[in-house]
Amino acid sequence: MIKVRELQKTYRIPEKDPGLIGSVRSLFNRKWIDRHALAPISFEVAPGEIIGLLGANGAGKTTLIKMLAGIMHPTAGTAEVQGFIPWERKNAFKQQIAIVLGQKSQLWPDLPAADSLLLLREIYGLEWTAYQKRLDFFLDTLDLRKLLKTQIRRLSLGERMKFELVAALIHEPKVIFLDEPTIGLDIGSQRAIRSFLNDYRKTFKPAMILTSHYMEDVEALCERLLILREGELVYAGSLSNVSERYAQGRNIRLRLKDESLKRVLIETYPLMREDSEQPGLMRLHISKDEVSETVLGILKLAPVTDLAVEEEDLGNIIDALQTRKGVRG
Amino acid sequence: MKWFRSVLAGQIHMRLAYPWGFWTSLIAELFIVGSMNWFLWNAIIDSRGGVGFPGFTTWGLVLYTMITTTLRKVQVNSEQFIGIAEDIYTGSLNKYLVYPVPYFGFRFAMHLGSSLMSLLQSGAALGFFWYFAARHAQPLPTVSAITQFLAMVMVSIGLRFVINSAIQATAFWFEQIWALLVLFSFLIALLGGQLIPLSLYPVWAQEILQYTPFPILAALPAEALLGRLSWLQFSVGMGIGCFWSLIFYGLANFVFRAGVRDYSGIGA
Repeated sequence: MIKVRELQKTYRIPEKDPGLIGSVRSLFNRKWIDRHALAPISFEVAPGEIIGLLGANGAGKTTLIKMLAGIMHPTAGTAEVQGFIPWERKNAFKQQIAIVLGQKSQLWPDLPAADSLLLLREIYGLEWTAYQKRLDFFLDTLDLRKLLKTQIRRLSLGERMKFELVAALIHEPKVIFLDEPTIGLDIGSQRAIRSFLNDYRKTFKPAMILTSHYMEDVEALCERLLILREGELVYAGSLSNVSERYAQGRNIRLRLKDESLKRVLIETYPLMREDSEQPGLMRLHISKDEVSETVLGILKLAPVTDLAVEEEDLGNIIDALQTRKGVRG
Repeated sequence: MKWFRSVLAGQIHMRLAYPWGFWTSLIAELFIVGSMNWFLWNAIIDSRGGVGFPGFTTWGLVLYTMITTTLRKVQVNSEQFIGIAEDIYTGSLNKYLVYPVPYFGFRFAMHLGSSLMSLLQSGAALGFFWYFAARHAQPLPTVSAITQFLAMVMVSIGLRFVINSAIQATAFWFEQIWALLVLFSFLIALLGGQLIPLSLYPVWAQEILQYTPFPILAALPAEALLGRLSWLQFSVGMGIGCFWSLIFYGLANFVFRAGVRDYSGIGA
C-alpha cells in the first residue's frame, strides 16, 4: 500500500558562467538555482494494483520513484509505503520493497546469476525452502534455468533484465517500483516481461508503480495512470478514461469502389485527404458527434470497398498530455 | 551476518576469476621496489664508509620496503580504491540503499574479500623471495612475528578502509576526490614509514608519529614481520590503530549520513 500526500522535491543546483572566468568566479561566489522537480503530488496505490507513471524525460517520474523507494529525501510532504516513511530507510521497510531500474543493473556483472541470487538470499535472510520454491517459479516462468550459471556480463540485454526482475522479486516484496523495465529490449523480450509481470501481479498481489515510454507496457499492465508534465500531475485516473475524456475526434478511413468519385467526396468533405503513402486510401478526421451523419453521407455519395472508424491513438493523447501546455487533466 | 560472509566469498570468487592482473602488478612492483632499494641502500651505506643502520642489515632494509609495498597493495585494492565515490557519482549507490544491510558493511566485505586475496598472493610472492634470495642475510620470520604481522595487517585493512570511506563520502559535495585520496597515500608514505623505517627518523618525530594513525598502516606491521617489535610495542600500536579505526568509522558514518540526505541518485 502506498499513500502519498503533497510530496514535493526541489533541487538546488549550482550555476556556472561559461569559460575560464566563469569557473574561477564560481569557486568564490557560486550561484544556486532552485529546480522544482516535483510539485506537490498526492495519490494512493492499493495492493494488487499497477499504476502507470508517465511523463516526458525530466517530468519527475524517477524522482518520485526514488523518494518512494527511500533513496532520496523529499523537500516537503509525506509518504507512507507499507506503513513506513521511506526515507527513514528502516530495514523492515527495505524488506518489503523492490526497485528495478531498467537503465541500471542491480546484479554483479562478474558473478553468475546463481551467485548473485544466493547473495540476495543472505541479504534478505530468506529461508532456504521458500527461496528455492520462488526461484523455481521464476526460472520456469521466465525460461532462465539454463542460464543460471552464466556470468551476468555474458547474457543478452533481455536475459539480463529477466534476471534483474528475479533479483528484485526473490524476497517477495509487497511494493515494487519498475522504472522503464523494458527499455532497449526486443519485442519478444518486452512481451515476455509484460506477461511475467501480469502473472506475478495476479499471484502475489503487490502494489506496483511502473514508468515506461512504451505505450504497449502501459496498455498491457496498467488500469490507472498518473501523468506528469514538468513536475506537475496533469492527469490521474483510469486508462480507459483517458480516451473517453480526451479522444474527442474519430478517424475515418475508406477505399472507394470507383476512384473517379474521389473529387466529389473531397468537394463535399474538404478535410478529406488521400494517404500519401497508400494511394486510394482516403482519410478524414471529425468530431465524435459527427460520426453517424458523416458515414451515412459518404455512403450516399459513393460506394466503398472498405470503411473503418477509429478512435484517436492513445499514445498520441498521452503524448499531448505529457507535453502540451494547453491540455489538462 | 551471513550476508557479510557471502559478499566476502563473492569478492574472493571474483578475484579468483581474474587473478593475473594482480600477480603482474605485484611482481613488477616488488621487482622494481626491491632492486631500487637494493642499489639505494648499498650506495648510502657505501657513502657512510660501510657503516650500516642500527638494527638493520641491507637485506633487512630492502625487505622492509618490499613488505610496506605489499601492505599498500593489500590495504588498497584498485577496484575498491574509489568505489564509494563512484557509487555516489554514478548513482550505483541506489541499489545499496534499498538493501536491508548497512552500506559500509557491504563495501567493507567487498574490500576485505579483495584484501585477503591480495594478502595471500603477496604473502606467497614475498615468502618465495625471502626464502630463496634473502634468508642468508635476514632470518625467516618466527611464528610470533607472523602472528603480530597478521594481526596488525587486519587492523590496518580496517583502518585504511574507514579513512578512505570518510574521504570518499565527501563525494556527495565535491566533484573530484581523487586528489584527496592520493594526498593521503603520500602522507602514509611520509608519516607511516612506507619508504624509510620510522626508527631511522629523529626521535622527536618518532614520539609524535606513534600516536597518529599512520605507523600501523606501514611501519609497524613491517617491523613486526622483521621481528623488531616487542609485545609491548605491538599492544600499544594495536591499541592506537583500533582507536583511530573507531574515530574514522564514526567520521565516515557522520559524513555519509549528512551527504545522503541531499543525494539525488544521479545516473539512474
